[in-house]
Amino acid sequence: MSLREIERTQRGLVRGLQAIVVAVTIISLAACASTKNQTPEAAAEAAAINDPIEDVNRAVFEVNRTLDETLMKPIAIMYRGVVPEFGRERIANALDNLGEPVTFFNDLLQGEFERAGISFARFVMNSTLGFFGAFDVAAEGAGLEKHKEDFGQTLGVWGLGEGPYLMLPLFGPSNPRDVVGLVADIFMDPFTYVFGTATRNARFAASAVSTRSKYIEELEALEKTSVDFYAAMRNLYREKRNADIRNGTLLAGEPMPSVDIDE
Amino acid sequence: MDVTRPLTDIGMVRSNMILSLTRRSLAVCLASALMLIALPFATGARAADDPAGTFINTLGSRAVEIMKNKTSTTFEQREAQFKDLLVDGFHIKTISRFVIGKYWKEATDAQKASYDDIFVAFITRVYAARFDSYSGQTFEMIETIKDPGGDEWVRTKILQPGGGQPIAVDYRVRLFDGQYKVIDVVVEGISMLNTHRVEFASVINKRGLDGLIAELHARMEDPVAAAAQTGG
Repeated sequence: MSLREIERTQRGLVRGLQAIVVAVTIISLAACASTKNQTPEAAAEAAAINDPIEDVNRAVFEVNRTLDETLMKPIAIMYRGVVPEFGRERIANALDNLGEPVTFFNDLLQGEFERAGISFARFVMNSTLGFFGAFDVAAEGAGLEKHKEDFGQTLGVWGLGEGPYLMLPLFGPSNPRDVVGLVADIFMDPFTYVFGTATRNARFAASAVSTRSKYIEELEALEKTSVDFYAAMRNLYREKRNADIRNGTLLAGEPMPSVDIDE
Repeated sequence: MDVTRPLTDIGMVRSNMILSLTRRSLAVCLASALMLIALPFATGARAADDPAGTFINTLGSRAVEIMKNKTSTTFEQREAQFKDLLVDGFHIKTISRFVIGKYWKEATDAQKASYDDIFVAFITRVYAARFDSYSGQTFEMIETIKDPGGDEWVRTKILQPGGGQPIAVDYRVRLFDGQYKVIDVVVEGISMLNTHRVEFASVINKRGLDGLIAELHARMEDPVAAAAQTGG
Protein backbone atom coordinates (compact mmCIF):
# COMPACT_ATOMS: atom_id res chain seq x y z
CA MET A 1 0.00 0.00 0.00
CA SER A 2 1.50 3.32 -1.02
CA LEU A 3 1.59 6.39 1.17
CA ARG A 4 -0.92 8.02 -1.09
CA GLU A 5 -3.31 5.16 -0.71
CA ILE A 6 -3.01 5.31 3.07
CA GLU A 7 -3.73 9.02 2.91
CA ARG A 8 -6.75 8.44 0.76
CA THR A 9 -8.04 5.71 3.08
CA GLN A 10 -7.58 7.95 6.08
CA ARG A 11 -9.35 10.85 4.41
CA GLY A 12 -12.21 8.52 3.58
CA LEU A 13 -12.40 7.25 7.14
CA VAL A 14 -12.35 10.77 8.59
CA ARG A 15 -15.18 11.73 6.26
CA GLY A 16 -17.01 8.59 7.35
CA LEU A 17 -16.55 9.51 11.01
CA GLN A 18 -17.90 13.00 10.36
CA ALA A 19 -20.94 11.52 8.69
CA ILE A 20 -21.49 9.27 11.70
CA VAL A 21 -21.32 12.19 14.13
CA VAL A 22 -23.88 14.09 12.07
CA ALA A 23 -26.12 11.03 11.83
CA VAL A 24 -25.93 10.38 15.57
CA THR A 25 -26.83 14.01 16.28
CA ILE A 26 -29.86 13.85 14.01
CA ILE A 27 -30.93 10.58 15.56
CA SER A 28 -30.62 11.96 19.08
CA LEU A 29 -32.71 14.99 18.12
CA ALA A 30 -35.31 12.74 16.56
CA ALA A 31 -35.35 10.65 19.73
CA CYS A 32 -36.01 13.73 21.88
CA ALA A 33 -38.77 14.91 19.59
CA SER A 34 -40.55 11.57 19.57
CA THR A 35 -40.67 11.11 23.36
CA LYS A 36 -42.44 14.43 23.97
CA ASN A 37 -46.09 13.47 23.90
CA GLN A 38 -45.92 10.05 25.54
CA THR A 39 -47.16 8.51 28.75
CA PRO A 40 -44.33 7.52 31.12
CA GLU A 41 -45.11 3.86 30.43
CA ALA A 42 -44.85 4.28 26.69
CA ALA A 43 -41.67 6.32 27.12
CA ALA A 44 -40.13 3.52 29.21
CA GLU A 45 -41.03 0.99 26.55
CA ALA A 46 -39.56 3.17 23.81
CA ALA A 47 -36.37 3.49 25.87
CA ALA A 48 -36.15 -0.30 26.17
CA ILE A 49 -36.61 -0.72 22.44
CA ASN A 50 -34.42 2.33 21.78
CA ASP A 51 -35.19 2.56 18.10
CA PRO A 52 -36.15 6.20 17.42
CA ILE A 53 -35.66 5.99 13.66
CA GLU A 54 -37.45 2.67 13.30
CA ASP A 55 -39.12 3.69 10.02
CA VAL A 56 -35.79 4.48 8.37
CA ASN A 57 -34.20 1.37 9.86
CA ARG A 58 -37.01 -0.81 8.57
CA ALA A 59 -36.64 0.64 5.08
CA VAL A 60 -32.87 -0.07 5.11
CA PHE A 61 -33.57 -3.54 6.51
CA GLU A 62 -35.84 -4.27 3.55
CA VAL A 63 -33.13 -3.16 1.10
CA ASN A 64 -30.60 -5.35 2.92
CA ARG A 65 -32.98 -8.29 2.82
CA THR A 66 -33.52 -7.87 -0.91
CA LEU A 67 -29.76 -7.74 -1.42
CA ASP A 68 -29.41 -10.85 0.70
CA GLU A 69 -32.13 -12.76 -1.13
CA THR A 70 -30.88 -11.86 -4.60
CA LEU A 71 -27.12 -11.86 -4.02
CA MET A 72 -25.63 -12.94 -0.70
CA LYS A 73 -27.77 -15.96 0.02
CA PRO A 74 -27.50 -17.48 -3.49
CA ILE A 75 -23.73 -16.97 -3.40
CA ALA A 76 -23.55 -18.55 0.07
CA ILE A 77 -25.60 -21.53 -1.11
CA MET A 78 -23.41 -21.87 -4.19
CA TYR A 79 -20.28 -21.66 -2.04
CA ARG A 80 -21.63 -24.42 0.12
CA GLY A 81 -22.41 -26.52 -2.93
CA VAL A 82 -18.97 -26.10 -4.47
CA VAL A 83 -16.62 -26.16 -1.47
CA PRO A 84 -16.92 -29.19 0.82
CA GLU A 85 -17.29 -28.72 4.57
CA PHE A 86 -13.61 -29.44 5.22
CA GLY A 87 -12.56 -26.67 2.87
CA ARG A 88 -15.09 -24.19 4.22
CA GLU A 89 -13.86 -24.86 7.73
CA ARG A 90 -10.25 -24.16 6.66
CA ILE A 91 -11.26 -20.91 4.95
CA ALA A 92 -13.34 -19.76 7.93
CA ASN A 93 -10.42 -20.52 10.26
CA ALA A 94 -7.93 -18.66 8.08
CA LEU A 95 -10.21 -15.60 7.96
CA ASP A 96 -10.75 -15.72 11.72
CA ASN A 97 -7.00 -15.94 12.18
CA LEU A 98 -6.62 -12.63 10.35
CA GLY A 99 -8.93 -11.12 12.96
CA GLU A 100 -6.72 -12.25 15.83
CA PRO A 101 -4.59 -9.04 16.04
CA VAL A 102 -7.70 -6.86 16.45
CA THR A 103 -8.91 -9.19 19.19
CA PHE A 104 -5.48 -9.01 20.82
CA PHE A 105 -5.39 -5.19 20.86
CA ASN A 106 -8.93 -4.97 22.20
CA ASP A 107 -8.17 -7.53 24.90
CA LEU A 108 -5.31 -5.25 25.99
CA LEU A 109 -7.53 -2.16 25.91
CA GLN A 110 -10.06 -3.99 28.08
CA GLY A 111 -7.37 -5.01 30.58
CA GLU A 112 -7.95 -8.69 29.74
CA PHE A 113 -4.30 -9.70 29.76
CA GLU A 114 -4.79 -13.46 29.98
CA ARG A 115 -7.18 -13.37 27.02
CA ALA A 116 -4.72 -11.14 25.16
CA GLY A 117 -2.07 -13.79 25.79
CA ILE A 118 -4.34 -16.50 24.46
CA SER A 119 -5.10 -14.47 21.36
CA PHE A 120 -1.42 -13.75 20.78
CA ALA A 121 -0.42 -17.39 21.24
CA ARG A 122 -3.24 -18.50 18.96
CA PHE A 123 -2.12 -16.14 16.21
CA VAL A 124 1.50 -17.29 16.40
CA MET A 125 0.66 -21.00 16.57
CA ASN A 126 -2.09 -21.02 13.96
CA SER A 127 -0.24 -18.79 11.48
CA THR A 128 2.76 -21.15 11.51
CA LEU A 129 1.84 -24.69 12.58
CA GLY A 130 -1.74 -24.15 11.50
CA PHE A 131 -0.80 -23.32 7.93
CA PHE A 132 -1.77 -19.60 7.75
CA GLY A 133 -4.60 -20.19 10.18
CA ALA A 134 -6.34 -22.89 8.16
CA PHE A 135 -6.06 -25.30 11.07
CA ASP A 136 -6.92 -24.21 14.59
CA VAL A 137 -4.07 -26.14 16.21
CA ALA A 138 -4.10 -23.77 19.18
CA ALA A 139 -7.61 -24.86 20.16
CA GLU A 140 -7.26 -28.53 19.25
CA GLY A 141 -3.72 -29.10 20.47
CA ALA A 142 -3.33 -26.65 23.35
CA GLY A 143 -6.89 -25.94 24.43
CA LEU A 144 -6.60 -22.25 23.56
CA GLU A 145 -10.18 -21.57 22.52
CA LYS A 146 -11.08 -18.90 19.99
CA HIS A 147 -12.66 -15.65 21.14
CA LYS A 148 -13.40 -12.39 19.36
CA GLU A 149 -13.15 -8.84 20.57
CA ASP A 150 -13.72 -5.58 18.74
CA PHE A 151 -13.58 -1.91 19.67
CA GLY A 152 -17.37 -1.70 19.98
CA GLN A 153 -17.10 -4.24 22.81
CA THR A 154 -14.15 -2.34 24.29
CA LEU A 155 -16.24 0.84 24.42
CA GLY A 156 -18.97 -1.18 26.11
CA VAL A 157 -16.50 -2.51 28.69
CA TRP A 158 -15.41 1.09 29.30
CA GLY A 159 -19.00 1.91 30.16
CA LEU A 160 -20.21 3.67 27.03
CA GLY A 161 -23.88 3.04 26.23
CA GLU A 162 -24.88 1.54 22.89
CA GLY A 163 -27.11 4.43 21.79
CA PRO A 164 -30.09 4.09 19.46
CA TYR A 165 -30.42 1.08 17.19
CA LEU A 166 -29.14 1.60 13.65
CA MET A 167 -29.64 -0.50 10.56
CA LEU A 168 -26.67 0.11 8.29
CA PRO A 169 -26.85 -0.51 4.57
CA LEU A 170 -24.90 -3.72 3.74
CA PHE A 171 -23.41 -4.05 7.26
CA GLY A 172 -26.76 -4.72 8.93
CA PRO A 173 -27.70 -4.22 12.59
CA SER A 174 -25.59 -1.75 14.56
CA ASN A 175 -25.61 1.23 16.89
CA PRO A 176 -23.45 4.38 17.17
CA ARG A 177 -21.06 2.66 19.57
CA ASP A 178 -20.49 -0.23 17.18
CA VAL A 179 -20.15 2.10 14.18
CA VAL A 180 -17.31 3.90 15.95
CA GLY A 181 -15.92 0.48 16.87
CA LEU A 182 -16.06 -0.70 13.28
CA VAL A 183 -14.03 2.27 12.07
CA ALA A 184 -11.53 2.03 14.95
CA ASP A 185 -10.99 -1.68 14.24
CA ILE A 186 -10.04 -0.89 10.65
CA PHE A 187 -7.34 1.49 11.92
CA MET A 188 -6.23 -0.98 14.56
CA ASP A 189 -5.90 -3.87 12.16
CA PRO A 190 -2.31 -4.35 10.92
CA PHE A 191 -3.64 -6.06 7.80
CA THR A 192 -5.27 -2.78 6.75
CA TYR A 193 -1.75 -1.49 6.15
CA VAL A 194 -0.20 -4.74 4.96
CA PHE A 195 -2.77 -5.71 2.35
CA GLY A 196 -3.38 -3.90 -0.91
CA THR A 197 -6.84 -2.68 -1.84
CA ALA A 198 -7.66 -5.78 -3.88
CA THR A 199 -6.64 -8.14 -1.05
CA ARG A 200 -8.61 -6.11 1.49
CA ASN A 201 -11.71 -6.28 -0.69
CA ALA A 202 -11.24 -10.00 -1.28
CA ARG A 203 -10.93 -10.57 2.44
CA PHE A 204 -14.09 -8.58 3.10
CA ALA A 205 -16.04 -10.47 0.44
CA ALA A 206 -14.72 -13.85 1.56
CA SER A 207 -15.67 -13.10 5.18
CA ALA A 208 -19.16 -12.10 4.14
CA VAL A 209 -19.71 -15.28 2.09
CA SER A 210 -18.10 -17.57 4.65
CA THR A 211 -20.14 -16.13 7.52
CA ARG A 212 -23.38 -16.11 5.56
CA SER A 213 -22.91 -19.75 4.55
CA LYS A 214 -22.81 -20.77 8.22
CA TYR A 215 -26.26 -19.41 8.97
CA ILE A 216 -28.38 -20.41 5.97
CA GLU A 217 -30.73 -22.76 7.85
CA GLU A 218 -30.73 -20.81 11.12
CA LEU A 219 -31.71 -17.52 9.50
CA GLU A 220 -34.32 -19.18 7.39
CA ALA A 221 -35.85 -20.88 10.43
CA LEU A 222 -35.82 -17.58 12.31
CA GLU A 223 -37.44 -15.70 9.45
CA LYS A 224 -40.13 -18.30 8.98
CA THR A 225 -41.06 -18.39 12.66
CA SER A 226 -40.88 -14.65 13.34
CA VAL A 227 -44.02 -12.58 13.63
CA ASP A 228 -41.84 -9.50 13.13
CA PHE A 229 -38.46 -10.43 11.65
CA TYR A 230 -37.12 -6.89 12.00
CA ALA A 231 -37.94 -6.75 15.73
CA ALA A 232 -36.51 -10.24 16.22
CA MET A 233 -33.22 -9.26 14.57
CA ARG A 234 -33.04 -6.09 16.63
CA ASN A 235 -33.36 -8.02 19.87
CA LEU A 236 -30.99 -10.69 18.64
CA TYR A 237 -28.31 -8.16 17.83
CA ARG A 238 -28.67 -6.27 21.11
CA GLU A 239 -28.59 -9.35 23.33
CA LYS A 240 -25.72 -10.92 21.38
CA ARG A 241 -23.63 -7.75 21.71
CA ASN A 242 -24.36 -7.55 25.42
CA ALA A 243 -23.25 -11.16 25.81
CA ASP A 244 -20.09 -10.41 23.81
CA ILE A 245 -19.30 -7.47 26.09
CA ARG A 246 -19.84 -9.58 29.22
CA ASN A 247 -17.65 -12.29 27.63
CA GLY A 248 -20.34 -14.74 28.60
CA THR A 249 -23.72 -15.88 27.48
CA LEU A 250 -25.31 -16.49 30.88
CA LEU A 251 -28.31 -14.27 31.62
CA ALA A 252 -28.50 -15.22 35.33
CA GLY A 253 -29.31 -12.29 37.56
CA GLU A 254 -31.00 -10.38 34.77
CA PRO A 255 -34.32 -9.23 36.13
CA MET A 256 -37.25 -11.02 34.54
CA PRO A 257 -40.52 -9.12 34.84
CA SER A 258 -42.96 -11.14 36.91
CA VAL A 259 -45.91 -12.57 35.05
CA ASP A 260 -49.38 -12.95 36.36
CA ILE A 261 -50.40 -16.36 35.14
CA ASP A 262 -53.70 -16.62 36.96
CA GLU A 263 -56.25 -14.88 34.80
CA MET B 1 -27.37 -47.14 28.58
CA ASP B 2 -27.55 -43.62 27.25
CA VAL B 3 -25.40 -42.55 24.33
CA THR B 4 -25.23 -38.90 25.30
CA ARG B 5 -23.99 -39.67 28.82
CA PRO B 6 -20.21 -39.82 28.26
CA LEU B 7 -20.29 -36.41 26.59
CA THR B 8 -22.09 -35.01 29.56
CA ASP B 9 -19.39 -36.12 31.91
CA ILE B 10 -16.56 -34.68 29.84
CA GLY B 11 -18.29 -31.36 30.18
CA MET B 12 -18.60 -31.67 33.93
CA VAL B 13 -14.99 -32.53 34.54
CA ARG B 14 -13.65 -29.86 32.22
CA SER B 15 -15.79 -27.03 33.40
CA ASN B 16 -14.91 -27.66 37.02
CA MET B 17 -11.30 -26.82 36.38
CA ILE B 18 -9.96 -23.38 36.04
CA LEU B 19 -6.92 -23.91 33.96
CA SER B 20 -3.97 -21.67 33.72
CA LEU B 21 -2.44 -21.05 30.36
CA THR B 22 0.68 -23.14 30.74
CA ARG B 23 -0.94 -26.07 32.50
CA ARG B 24 -3.70 -26.39 30.02
CA SER B 25 -2.54 -29.32 27.92
CA LEU B 26 -1.40 -31.26 30.96
CA ALA B 27 -4.76 -30.62 32.53
CA VAL B 28 -6.57 -31.87 29.45
CA CYS B 29 -4.73 -35.21 29.74
CA LEU B 30 -5.50 -35.30 33.44
CA ALA B 31 -9.13 -34.52 32.76
CA SER B 32 -9.38 -37.36 30.25
CA ALA B 33 -7.86 -39.76 32.79
CA LEU B 34 -10.19 -38.53 35.51
CA MET B 35 -13.11 -38.85 33.17
CA LEU B 36 -12.39 -42.53 32.58
CA ILE B 37 -12.30 -43.19 36.30
CA ALA B 38 -15.30 -41.03 37.07
CA LEU B 39 -17.54 -42.33 34.30
CA PRO B 40 -19.05 -45.35 36.06
CA PHE B 41 -19.90 -43.28 39.15
CA ALA B 42 -20.93 -40.00 37.60
CA THR B 43 -24.40 -41.03 36.53
CA GLY B 44 -25.67 -41.79 40.01
CA ALA B 45 -24.00 -38.83 41.67
CA ARG B 46 -25.32 -36.45 39.09
CA ALA B 47 -28.96 -37.31 39.60
CA ALA B 48 -28.67 -36.66 43.33
CA ASP B 49 -26.82 -33.33 43.17
CA ASP B 50 -28.35 -31.72 40.18
CA PRO B 51 -31.98 -32.59 39.49
CA ALA B 52 -32.38 -29.59 37.16
CA GLY B 53 -29.38 -30.74 35.11
CA THR B 54 -30.72 -34.28 34.96
CA PHE B 55 -34.07 -32.95 33.80
CA ILE B 56 -32.47 -30.99 30.95
CA ASN B 57 -30.22 -33.92 30.06
CA THR B 58 -33.27 -36.16 29.67
CA LEU B 59 -35.08 -33.54 27.64
CA GLY B 60 -32.02 -32.97 25.44
CA SER B 61 -31.60 -36.69 24.82
CA ARG B 62 -35.22 -36.83 23.69
CA ALA B 63 -34.60 -33.96 21.26
CA VAL B 64 -31.46 -35.66 19.92
CA GLU B 65 -33.48 -38.87 19.53
CA ILE B 66 -36.11 -37.02 17.44
CA MET B 67 -33.42 -35.51 15.21
CA LYS B 68 -31.68 -38.86 14.79
CA ASN B 69 -34.62 -40.16 12.79
CA LYS B 70 -34.59 -37.16 10.53
CA THR B 71 -34.20 -39.11 7.31
CA SER B 72 -37.06 -41.50 8.04
CA THR B 73 -39.58 -38.97 9.38
CA THR B 74 -41.36 -35.97 7.88
CA PHE B 75 -41.17 -32.51 9.40
CA GLU B 76 -44.80 -32.87 10.52
CA GLN B 77 -44.00 -36.07 12.40
CA ARG B 78 -41.02 -34.49 14.11
CA GLU B 79 -43.07 -31.42 14.92
CA ALA B 80 -45.68 -33.63 16.61
CA GLN B 81 -42.90 -35.24 18.68
CA PHE B 82 -41.53 -31.83 19.59
CA LYS B 83 -44.99 -30.79 20.72
CA ASP B 84 -45.10 -33.68 23.22
CA LEU B 85 -41.64 -32.73 24.39
CA LEU B 86 -42.62 -29.09 24.91
CA VAL B 87 -45.85 -29.89 26.71
CA ASP B 88 -43.93 -32.22 29.05
CA GLY B 89 -40.87 -30.10 29.62
CA PHE B 90 -41.86 -26.46 29.16
CA HIS B 91 -44.22 -24.32 31.23
CA ILE B 92 -46.12 -23.00 28.26
CA LYS B 93 -48.53 -20.89 30.30
CA THR B 94 -45.73 -18.85 31.87
CA ILE B 95 -44.03 -18.46 28.51
CA SER B 96 -47.20 -17.39 26.72
CA ARG B 97 -48.10 -14.82 29.40
CA PHE B 98 -44.59 -13.44 29.62
CA VAL B 99 -44.20 -12.84 25.92
CA ILE B 100 -47.53 -11.03 25.61
CA GLY B 101 -46.71 -8.89 28.65
CA LYS B 102 -49.02 -6.07 29.63
CA TYR B 103 -51.36 -6.69 26.71
CA TRP B 104 -52.83 -9.75 28.42
CA LYS B 105 -54.79 -7.59 30.84
CA GLU B 106 -56.28 -5.55 28.02
CA ALA B 107 -57.43 -8.64 26.06
CA THR B 108 -61.05 -9.78 25.84
CA ASP B 109 -61.93 -13.35 26.87
CA ALA B 110 -62.36 -14.34 23.24
CA GLN B 111 -58.93 -12.92 22.37
CA LYS B 112 -57.33 -14.71 25.33
CA ALA B 113 -58.83 -18.01 24.24
CA SER B 114 -57.72 -17.72 20.62
CA TYR B 115 -54.25 -16.52 21.68
CA ASP B 116 -53.83 -19.52 23.99
CA ASP B 117 -54.98 -21.84 21.21
CA ILE B 118 -52.53 -20.66 18.62
CA PHE B 119 -49.61 -20.07 20.99
CA VAL B 120 -48.93 -23.76 21.68
CA ALA B 121 -48.85 -24.49 17.97
CA PHE B 122 -46.65 -21.45 17.36
CA ILE B 123 -44.06 -22.21 20.04
CA THR B 124 -43.91 -25.83 18.85
CA ARG B 125 -43.23 -24.62 15.31
CA VAL B 126 -40.54 -22.25 16.56
CA TYR B 127 -38.56 -24.93 18.39
CA ALA B 128 -39.19 -27.66 15.83
CA ALA B 129 -37.99 -25.42 12.98
CA ARG B 130 -34.99 -24.24 14.98
CA PHE B 131 -33.91 -27.74 16.01
CA ASP B 132 -34.58 -29.07 12.54
CA SER B 133 -31.76 -26.96 11.14
CA TYR B 134 -29.38 -29.14 13.14
CA SER B 135 -27.92 -32.40 11.94
CA GLY B 136 -25.37 -34.58 13.63
CA GLN B 137 -24.86 -32.22 16.57
CA THR B 138 -24.49 -33.54 20.10
CA PHE B 139 -24.87 -31.68 23.33
CA GLU B 140 -22.73 -31.43 26.39
CA MET B 141 -23.84 -30.46 29.89
CA ILE B 142 -21.69 -27.79 31.50
CA GLU B 143 -23.05 -26.74 34.87
CA THR B 144 -26.13 -25.68 36.77
CA ILE B 145 -26.28 -22.23 38.37
CA LYS B 146 -28.77 -20.82 40.87
CA ASP B 147 -30.26 -17.53 39.79
CA PRO B 148 -30.59 -14.94 42.56
CA GLY B 149 -34.26 -14.75 41.59
CA GLY B 150 -34.81 -18.42 42.48
CA ASP B 151 -34.72 -20.08 39.06
CA GLU B 152 -31.95 -22.41 37.98
CA TRP B 153 -29.84 -22.10 34.84
CA VAL B 154 -28.72 -25.30 33.19
CA ARG B 155 -25.87 -24.52 30.86
CA THR B 156 -25.18 -26.72 27.85
CA LYS B 157 -23.20 -26.62 24.66
CA ILE B 158 -24.20 -27.90 21.25
CA LEU B 159 -21.17 -29.43 19.56
CA GLN B 160 -20.82 -29.21 15.79
CA PRO B 161 -20.09 -32.48 13.97
CA GLY B 162 -17.35 -30.84 11.85
CA GLY B 163 -15.65 -29.40 14.94
CA GLY B 164 -16.86 -25.82 14.38
CA GLN B 165 -17.57 -23.31 17.16
CA PRO B 166 -19.87 -24.91 19.73
CA ILE B 167 -23.15 -23.10 20.45
CA ALA B 168 -23.93 -22.10 24.05
CA VAL B 169 -27.50 -22.96 25.08
CA ASP B 170 -28.72 -22.11 28.59
CA TYR B 171 -32.08 -23.27 29.93
CA ARG B 172 -33.93 -21.24 32.55
CA VAL B 173 -35.64 -23.84 34.70
CA ARG B 174 -38.27 -23.29 37.41
CA LEU B 175 -40.01 -25.63 39.84
CA PHE B 176 -43.78 -25.91 39.45
CA ASP B 177 -45.36 -28.16 42.12
CA GLY B 178 -42.12 -30.09 42.49
CA GLN B 179 -41.76 -30.52 38.71
CA TYR B 180 -39.00 -28.82 36.76
CA LYS B 181 -40.14 -26.89 33.70
CA VAL B 182 -38.21 -24.86 31.17
CA ILE B 183 -39.34 -21.23 30.91
CA ASP B 184 -36.62 -19.81 28.68
CA VAL B 185 -33.99 -21.02 26.24
CA VAL B 186 -31.02 -18.69 25.81
CA VAL B 187 -28.95 -19.37 22.69
CA GLU B 188 -25.56 -17.63 22.65
CA GLY B 189 -26.84 -15.11 25.17
CA ILE B 190 -30.05 -14.43 23.25
CA SER B 191 -33.23 -15.10 25.17
CA MET B 192 -36.06 -16.66 23.17
CA LEU B 193 -38.48 -15.25 25.71
CA ASN B 194 -37.22 -11.67 25.32
CA THR B 195 -37.08 -11.96 21.55
CA HIS B 196 -40.69 -13.10 21.36
CA ARG B 197 -41.77 -10.43 23.84
CA VAL B 198 -40.19 -7.68 21.74
CA GLU B 199 -41.61 -9.11 18.52
CA PHE B 200 -45.10 -9.52 19.95
CA ALA B 201 -45.11 -5.98 21.38
CA SER B 202 -44.04 -4.63 18.00
CA VAL B 203 -46.88 -6.39 16.17
CA ILE B 204 -49.50 -5.51 18.81
CA ASN B 205 -48.46 -1.84 18.73
CA LYS B 206 -48.98 -1.69 14.99
CA ARG B 207 -51.87 -4.04 14.38
CA GLY B 208 -53.44 -4.77 17.76
CA LEU B 209 -53.81 -8.12 19.49
CA ASP B 210 -56.04 -9.44 16.72
CA GLY B 211 -53.27 -8.56 14.31
CA LEU B 212 -50.83 -10.62 16.36
CA ILE B 213 -53.17 -13.59 16.50
CA ALA B 214 -53.64 -13.37 12.72
CA GLU B 215 -49.86 -13.21 12.25
CA LEU B 216 -49.34 -16.26 14.48
CA HIS B 217 -51.82 -18.17 12.32
CA ALA B 218 -50.03 -16.97 9.19
CA ARG B 219 -46.72 -18.32 10.56
CA MET B 220 -48.31 -21.74 10.97
CA GLU B 221 -49.48 -21.80 7.37
CA ASP B 222 -46.02 -21.01 6.03
CA PRO B 223 -44.40 -24.38 5.30
CA VAL B 224 -40.99 -25.06 6.77
CA ALA B 225 -39.80 -26.93 3.70
CA ALA B 226 -36.32 -25.43 3.57
CA ALA B 227 -35.67 -25.95 7.25
CA ALA B 228 -36.65 -29.60 6.96
CA GLN B 229 -33.88 -30.24 4.50
CA THR B 230 -30.38 -30.34 5.83
CA GLY B 231 -27.49 -28.42 4.46
CA GLY B 232 -24.05 -29.82 4.60
